[in-house]
Amino acid sequence: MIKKIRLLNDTYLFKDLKEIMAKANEEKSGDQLAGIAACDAKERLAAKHVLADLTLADIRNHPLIPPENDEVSRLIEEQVDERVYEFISNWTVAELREFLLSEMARPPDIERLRLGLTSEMVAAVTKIMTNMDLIQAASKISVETTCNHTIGQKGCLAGRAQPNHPSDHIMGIRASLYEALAYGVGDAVIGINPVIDTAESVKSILTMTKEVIDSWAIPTQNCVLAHVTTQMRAIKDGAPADLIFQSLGGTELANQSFGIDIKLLDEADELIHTEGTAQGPNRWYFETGQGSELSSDAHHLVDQVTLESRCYGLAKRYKPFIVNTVVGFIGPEYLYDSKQVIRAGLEDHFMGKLQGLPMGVDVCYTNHMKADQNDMENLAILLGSAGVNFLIGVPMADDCMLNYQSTSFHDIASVRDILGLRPTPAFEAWLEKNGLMENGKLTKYAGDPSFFHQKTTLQA
Amino acid sequence: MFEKEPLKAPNMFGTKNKRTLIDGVNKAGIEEMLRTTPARIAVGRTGTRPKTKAILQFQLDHAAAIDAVSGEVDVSYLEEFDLFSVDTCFETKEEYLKRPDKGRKLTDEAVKTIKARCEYRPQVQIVVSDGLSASAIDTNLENVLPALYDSLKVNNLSAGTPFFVKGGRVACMDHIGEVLQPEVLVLLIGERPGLVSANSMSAYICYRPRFGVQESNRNVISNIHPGGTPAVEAGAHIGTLLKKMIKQKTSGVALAF
Amino acid sequence: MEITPVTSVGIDIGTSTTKMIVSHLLINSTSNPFSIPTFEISDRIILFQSDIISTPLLSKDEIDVERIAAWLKKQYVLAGIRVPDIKSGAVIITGETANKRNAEKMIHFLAERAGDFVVAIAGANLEAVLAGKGSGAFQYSIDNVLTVVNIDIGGGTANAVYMRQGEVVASVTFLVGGRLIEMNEEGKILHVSDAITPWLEKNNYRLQKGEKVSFVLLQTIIQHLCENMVTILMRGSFKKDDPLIHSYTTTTLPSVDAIFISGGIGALRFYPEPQSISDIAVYQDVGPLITCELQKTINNYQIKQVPAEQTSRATVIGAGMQSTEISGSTIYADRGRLPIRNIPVLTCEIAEDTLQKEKTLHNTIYSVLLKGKEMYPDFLKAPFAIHILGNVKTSYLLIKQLAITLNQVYQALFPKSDLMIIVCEQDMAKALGQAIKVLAGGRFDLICIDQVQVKHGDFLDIGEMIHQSTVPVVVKTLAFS
Repeated sequence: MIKKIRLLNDTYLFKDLKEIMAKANEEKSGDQLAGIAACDAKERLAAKHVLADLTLADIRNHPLIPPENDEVSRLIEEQVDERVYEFISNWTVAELREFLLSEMARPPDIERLRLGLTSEMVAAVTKIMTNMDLIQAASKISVETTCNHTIGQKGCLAGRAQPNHPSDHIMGIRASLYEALAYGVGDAVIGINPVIDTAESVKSILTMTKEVIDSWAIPTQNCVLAHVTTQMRAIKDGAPADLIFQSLGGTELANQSFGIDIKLLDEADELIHTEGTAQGPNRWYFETGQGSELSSDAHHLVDQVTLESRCYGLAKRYKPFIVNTVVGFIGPEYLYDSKQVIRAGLEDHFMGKLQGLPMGVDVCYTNHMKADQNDMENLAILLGSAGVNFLIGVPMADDCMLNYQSTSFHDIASVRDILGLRPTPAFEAWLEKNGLMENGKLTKYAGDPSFFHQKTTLQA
Repeated sequence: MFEKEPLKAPNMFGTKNKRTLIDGVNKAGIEEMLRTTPARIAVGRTGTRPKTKAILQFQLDHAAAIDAVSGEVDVSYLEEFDLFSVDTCFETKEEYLKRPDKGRKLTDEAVKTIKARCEYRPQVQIVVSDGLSASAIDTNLENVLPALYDSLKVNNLSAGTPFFVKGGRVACMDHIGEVLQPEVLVLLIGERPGLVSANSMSAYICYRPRFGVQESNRNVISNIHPGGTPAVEAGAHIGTLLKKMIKQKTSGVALAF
Repeated sequence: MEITPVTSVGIDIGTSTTKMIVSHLLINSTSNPFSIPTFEISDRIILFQSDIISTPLLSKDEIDVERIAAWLKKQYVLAGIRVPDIKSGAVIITGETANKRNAEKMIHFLAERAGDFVVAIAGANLEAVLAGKGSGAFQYSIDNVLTVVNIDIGGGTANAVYMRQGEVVASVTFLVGGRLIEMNEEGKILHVSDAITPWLEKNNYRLQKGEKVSFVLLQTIIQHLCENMVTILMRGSFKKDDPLIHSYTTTTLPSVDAIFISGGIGALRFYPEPQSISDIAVYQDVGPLITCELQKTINNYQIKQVPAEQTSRATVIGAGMQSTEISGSTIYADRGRLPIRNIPVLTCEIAEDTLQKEKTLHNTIYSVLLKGKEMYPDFLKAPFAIHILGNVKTSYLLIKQLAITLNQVYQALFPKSDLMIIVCEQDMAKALGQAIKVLAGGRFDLICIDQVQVKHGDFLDIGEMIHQSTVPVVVKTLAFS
C-alpha cells in the first residue's frame, strides 16, 4: 500500500489508511474536533491523491476498526460477496469513481457491484468525488422498498410527515399531521419523535396515527421514533406499528451508547415481522448522522464520513424500508456551517444509495450553526436532483419539539413541482381522490388542515 | 361552575399574534387545532410557497435565536444577584461552538478566583452560565434565582458563593465540582435556542460532581421560559430535588422519586 | 412510574331511581427526563355498576337515608371494595329530592359510612354537566370539534348542557320528566307534580288527580311540552319567567351541531310508539310518551342526533368518574394536613397592574379576607381557601409581593389560625407557597395548590399527595333549591 506522495514540492507520508481516509475528507469541524483532519488544503489534496491510487483490496486488507474488536466491522466483512469482490479487488478507488460515473454503470451493474463493496470502500470513493459527482452517481441508483406501500420509484419524491409536539399532545400531533397531509406529505411515513419514552405513550401515538390512516385509507405507514426497546414493549402490548425505528452508530461502542447491539436489533426485527401491522417485507426505519460516534467517544479515531458509511453497512442487514440521515442536527462541532452540511447531505445520500439503501435526508440545522433556511432550500433541491427517496416535512420547517429547523411541507411540494417529481403513485392517487392534487399539482383545497377536520365531522 | 370545567387542551398556544392564518373550510377546526400545538400550522400558501408574513416571521424568530447565541448577558442582572464572572478556556465564539471541550474547563485564572472567593465544600453550589443563549439568562434569572433561594430556605439547605461562568458547557460542572467540592451543584445555563423560544434555560443538577461523571448522573429541568416551565416554579422545585439528592446521596437516573 | 389508581365512587339519587358505580381513575406521570414530572388522569374505568333501584322515599320529597345506606353497604360488598379504599367521588341528589334537608342528611351519613372522601353535591347545572360527560357528549364535542347539547331527562327534570369542543358553555334545566304526571292503565291521574302545574295552567290544560285523561289529550299535552322544550333548545333563547324553565346559566344558548339524549328517557329510545293509555302507563307515568314525542319533535329539525353511550347511568358515571381533577405538579403542602374537605372558596382577583399598586393589592386581599372572616365565623375549625385569580405574568416580584401581603393580612385577621389554604389559577403555587413559608416561618401550616379552576362560592375537597407532587381535587358547586 503506497502511503507517500510528492505534491507541489512537498512530500507527504501518511502513517496508515486511517490517516489517509481522515485527511482525504472535505473539511468537517467534527474531524477537526477529533484531531484527525488535514491541517490544510494541500495536505487534504495529498491524501486524496494517495487514496485515489489505493486499490479496493488495500482498503479491505487494512481494516480501520479490527473485526475482532467490533461487531459492525465483522458484519460488514461477512456481507461481502467474494465472487464480486474478486472481480473488483484490483480496481483503484479512482477507477471505482470513474466506473460509477460512466455510461457503463447501469442500474443492474451497480446493484451487482455493491455486493462486493465494503462500507469503507464506499466511503473512500466518496472522498474523491465532488458534489456534482455525488449527485450524478446517486441519481442513477433507485432503491425501491415496500412496507404497506412502495416508495423509491424513479421520478418520485416522498415525504415523511413529522408532526412532533413538545408535550406529545395527541390532538396537537394530529393537527400538524393534518397540515402535512393537506400539502401531500406523508407518503414515506407518518413518524413522530416522542418526548416521553414510555411504552404507553408510544402506543397512544401509534394508535392515533393508525386511526387517521385507517379512517382516511391513506396509503402510508406509521412509526414512533422512541428507543427500540420502548417500541418493542408497546408492540407487545398491542400497539399498531407498521415500522420499527432505531438510530444507528457506525461502531459497536457507539451502538452501545445508544443502548443497542446486533442481537437486540435481530430481536426487534423478528418482532416487527411477526407482530407489526404492515404487510410488506421492509419494516425498519433507521436514522444516522455524521458525528454521532465522536459525540459518544466511540469513533476509534476514524473519520466521520467512514463511520457514517459503516452505519449503512449495518442498516442493510435489516432490509429497511427507509433510512434517513439527520444531516445537520448534531451541531457545529461536527458540521460547522452550511457548506459542510450540504457536503455531508450529498455524501450520506450517495453512500447509502450505493449500498442499496432507501435513503432520505433530514436537511436540517440548529440555531448555533452557521447556516440558515436558504442553505436548506439549496440542499433540498440538490438532493431532489440526486433522486433522494424522501425528505422530512415539518410545519414551516420549524420543529417545535426537537428545536431545530428542517424542511417544510411547502419545500417538499416545491421540490416536486420544480423538478417534476411526484408523490408515490398510491399516495398521489389518494390525493387525487380526495381532491387535493390534480395532474401532480396541488388544488385549491390543498394546504388547509381543516379539510381533514371537516371530513372527520361529516363522517361521524 | 362553568369556569372550572377543564379545557380539553391548555390554551397556551392559541393567542400568539405571530401566527398568520388561513381561512379554512372549517374555521372552528383551525382555531381548535391551533390551540393544541405551537407548531406553525395553518399558515397558508401561494403556489407551493408559504405566505410572505409566515416566511418573514420565521426569519425573525431565527434572527432572535442567532442573536441569543452570539449575545452577551446583561451585566446588571449579574450585579443584581452579586455574581462575579469567570471564564472557560474558549477564545472566540467560533471556537466556543466548535470546541465544546473548551467550554467544559475553567481557565487557570478562573480556578484561582473561585478558590479565593467561594466557600469551600458548600452544601449547595449555584452556578449560572450563558451557554448557548445569553438571552435565556436575561429573561429568566430574576425569576428563577430568588425562587430557588426560597426553596433552599424552606428545605433548610445552605448555599455557597454563587458565580457566573462565561461560555460554559454543561460539563463545566465537573471541573467546578473538583475545585469547590460541593455536595450538590446547580447549573443554570442557556439552552440551544429554538425558534419557539430563544430564551430557554435549563437547570442541571448533580450530586458531588467530579471529572468523569456520566450524563446519566445529572438531573435536568429544561424548557424554562415564559411559554414553557415557569421560571419561578422551576426555581421552587429545585430545592425539593436537592433535598432528595442529599438524602439519597445520589443524582440522575439513580435518584428515586 | 407506577401510580396506584384512585378509587372513586359515584352515587346518583334521583326523583325516581338511584344507582351507583365504582371506578378507577388511572393516574399517569408524563415523566420526561428533562422536565419536572407532571401528572394527568390518563383513564377512567368502571369497576362496578349497581342495579338501578327505585329511590327509597319517606315522603314525596324525603329520602329514606337508612334504606339507601343498607343498599349501599350491599353494593360495596358486591363491588369488593372497603370504605377506606374510597379516595374520591361524588354523590349527586337530583330532581325534586335535591333539597337541603336531604343533602344534609346524606352529608352526615356519608361522612360516617360511605367513605371518607365521598360527599354530597347537587344542583341542576352540575347534574347537567355530569350527565353530558357520562353520556359521551363531552368527548364527542372534543373529538369532532363541534358544539353539542346533551339532554338528560329523568323523572323530574330535563337537564340540558351545551358543550363546545370540550368546554361547557351553557346549561338550562326544564321541568320536563317522566314522573311529572302519573296515571294508571285506565288513564286515571294518580299525581300531577306541582312543578308542571304552572305550565299546564298557562296553556289551559286541566289535569286533576283522580280524573281520567284520554290518550289524545295526554298526547297533545306531551307533544306541546316537547315542542316547547325543543324550540327553546334549538332557537337558543327563552324568557326568564317561562314556566317550563327550572334554572339556567344564560338565556342565550348557542346553536348546536348534534344532540344527545340521556337519562331514563334516553333509555326508552327503542320503546315502541304507544298507541293507547295502557301502552303509555307501563311505568304508571308519561315517560314512554315523552320519549316518543321528543323523538318526533327532534326529527322535525335538521339536527344530527347521536346515540348516547350511557343513558340511565349517564349522571352517575359522570359523578363517579368525572368529578375529580388533579392539580399542577409543583405545589406546596405541609405534612399531615391532607386530605381536607368542604373548603369554601373565596376569590381574590388580582389585576394586571397590581405590581404597580402595592396598596391596591393590600386592599383587595384585606377586603376579601375580612369578608371571609364575617362569612365563616367558625373559621378556626373550618378554614376557607383563598383563590388567587388573575391572568398576570408570573414574575418573582409579583409572587414576593403577594406573599408579603397575604402573610401580613392573614396574620392580622386570623392570628390564631394554624392553616392557610391557597388555590392559584396559574402555575405558581410552589414558588408562592415557599415565599409565604419563608416569611411566616412556623406560624401556620400551608396548603398552596394550582392549576385548578374554581370560582367564588365553590367548595373544595383536596386529597392526599400523589407521588409527593400533585393532589386530587374535587370542586363542588352546592346549589340547593
